[in-house]
Amino acid sequence: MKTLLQFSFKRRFLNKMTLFLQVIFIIVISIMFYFDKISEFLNLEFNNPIPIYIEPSLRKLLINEEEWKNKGFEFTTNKDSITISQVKDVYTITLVNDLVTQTKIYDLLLDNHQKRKESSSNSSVYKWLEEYRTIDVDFLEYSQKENQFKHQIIILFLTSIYFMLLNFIAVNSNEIIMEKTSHMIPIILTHVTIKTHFISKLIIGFISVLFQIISSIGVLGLIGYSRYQLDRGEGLIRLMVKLLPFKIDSFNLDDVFKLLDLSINDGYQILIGLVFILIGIFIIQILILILSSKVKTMEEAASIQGPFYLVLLIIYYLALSLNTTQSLSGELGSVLSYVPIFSMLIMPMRLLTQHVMPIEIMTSILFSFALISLIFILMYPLFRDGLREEG
Amino acid sequence: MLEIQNISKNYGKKKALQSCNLVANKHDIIGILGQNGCGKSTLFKSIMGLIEVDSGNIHYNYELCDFNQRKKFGYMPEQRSLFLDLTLYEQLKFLAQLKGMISNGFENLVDMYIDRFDLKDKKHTILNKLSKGQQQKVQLIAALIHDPDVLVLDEPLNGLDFYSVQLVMNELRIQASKGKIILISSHQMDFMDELCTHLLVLENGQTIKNGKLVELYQDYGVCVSVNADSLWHNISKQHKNILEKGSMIEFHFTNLIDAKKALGNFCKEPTITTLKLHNVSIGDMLKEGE
Repeated sequence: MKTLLQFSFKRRFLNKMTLFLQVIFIIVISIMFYFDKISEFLNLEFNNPIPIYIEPSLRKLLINEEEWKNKGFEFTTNKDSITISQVKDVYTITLVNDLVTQTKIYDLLLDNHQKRKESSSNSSVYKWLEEYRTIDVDFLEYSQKENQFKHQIIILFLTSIYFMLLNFIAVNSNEIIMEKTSHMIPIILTHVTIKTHFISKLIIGFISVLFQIISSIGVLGLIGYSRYQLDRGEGLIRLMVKLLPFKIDSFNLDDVFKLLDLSINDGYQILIGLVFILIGIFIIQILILILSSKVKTMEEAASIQGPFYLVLLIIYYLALSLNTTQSLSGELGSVLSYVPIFSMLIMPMRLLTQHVMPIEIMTSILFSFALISLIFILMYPLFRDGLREEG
Repeated sequence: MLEIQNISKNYGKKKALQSCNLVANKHDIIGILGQNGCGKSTLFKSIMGLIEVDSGNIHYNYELCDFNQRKKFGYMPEQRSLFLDLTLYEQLKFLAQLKGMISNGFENLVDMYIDRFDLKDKKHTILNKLSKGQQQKVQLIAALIHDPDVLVLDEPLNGLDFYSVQLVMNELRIQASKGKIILISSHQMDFMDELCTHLLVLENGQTIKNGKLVELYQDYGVCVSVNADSLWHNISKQHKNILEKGSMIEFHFTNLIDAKKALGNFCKEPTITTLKLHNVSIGDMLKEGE
């Protein structure tokens, strides 16, 4: 089995194309992390501050000038640029074509307006208004103080891994089909038993997925760390705040980490989420592997993978649509978090939005392993006969 | 000893193999012959455990053949079965590793075989770059590399030139002399004549001939061949079984005594310059069986 594993691993990862794609991946990630420096070097237009003309009467009233600069604006006296004027209570803005800049200007004007009002009014009135608008409630048992930014970033991380791993569900299947079409199956099966061959394919499939996760996180981590060491990602975050509609007040990676406020508990949640994704991918790999043993041509192989990709896309969109505390704690969300394959995204999302009991996590994992055992018992004979047909 | 007892295999309604029996001892080279689709490959796959037989048993050294027993078998399937993106050396190394014999004199064996099969300069060549005949020889080396006791070779001479066929036949004779059992199928009857010690002839899954080649020869009599440009017409009048084979005329006799008599007469004919006493060829045997 060791030979089969080594052989498959070598063929999958130590070939020219994979190495070439890995280099491409490193280049893309490097460009991502050093985008501000590259755009500065290339003197790209969006790297320059956006010139903005604000009527002198209005500008006098600006009390958040620094924030305008932080968001990428530069005050000018040239009226050919974006201009902002105010007649009575209406702001008139010209020459802004894109929605992101419009949103930023609106937010900055609103922020300025609120701060002015706050400073000019009687503070006790504001205090009264705040007290009138809100009540302090502390749900001791179920409440988890939500950090939307953190939540979104973790979901982004997990779904990225989910999609990255989708590539790998078909690798085992392709390998079996390649062995069949090159007529190597009879030769291999005179050297190892069908069961050894089957198990080695599952193990190598799982190892490949792990390897892919580790190597990708490794590359991201290394390049990200190098950027952090350079200038704590300052220019990059500024560029992101400037170009993207982020409502965060971060200017370097330190600020982003502070905002994320990652704890050990978050680490556990991400880890458990990864375990669920891995188990789900593992189940799909087994199913595709077994079906592949029945395939005789490359054309048939492509038709096997299609429905699985569709199911995985459905799971993704379902998980996104259920991605609120209310939906995930509802009947559908709860039930799906126990259903194998569906649980690979629904359970991690439940973990992020609500308190999930360890017994629930264990039960969901148990269901998945029960399904794996069932597949082994019921479908292994199909795999065996599929390979023997070829033999 | 390899013993096949009454094995049968059906593919749906098609009877691929019916009550096939075979006993093979050390040093035997058994030719499995028959037309396309007669059940040769099914028999080989059954021996190698690649298909499950419907009935019957296969024993090796008086024990029921299982996976561990079959580790001592070397198999060469009919189709090209190679990872064409590997080099010759990598392919052999992979298969040897699967058999767990990589540290056991593997390098020497590889060098020996590629030398014997005239592939010495191809050791690190990608298999895709080799000719079909060379790939065929690599497949044969792959079957031999773990020094098996039984060789099951499905059409190993396909696609080989005359020189390569001689190399392969020599190698098989060497292997047989070492006490190995060789089961071989081929449509190249002339070479089978030279190589085999036993024959198993199949037709639609049924055994129609089975036994030692020398015994089968006795059943089919003896032949005398003379050059075709001789004045054979006069002589031939006395004979019924005459075959024209290129530059030779072949006279068939039911027994050796008649053949020797005829040989005496032919010796007197001055126009006969080539004269040969020999057994009936396997090809003719099969034709007679039809």
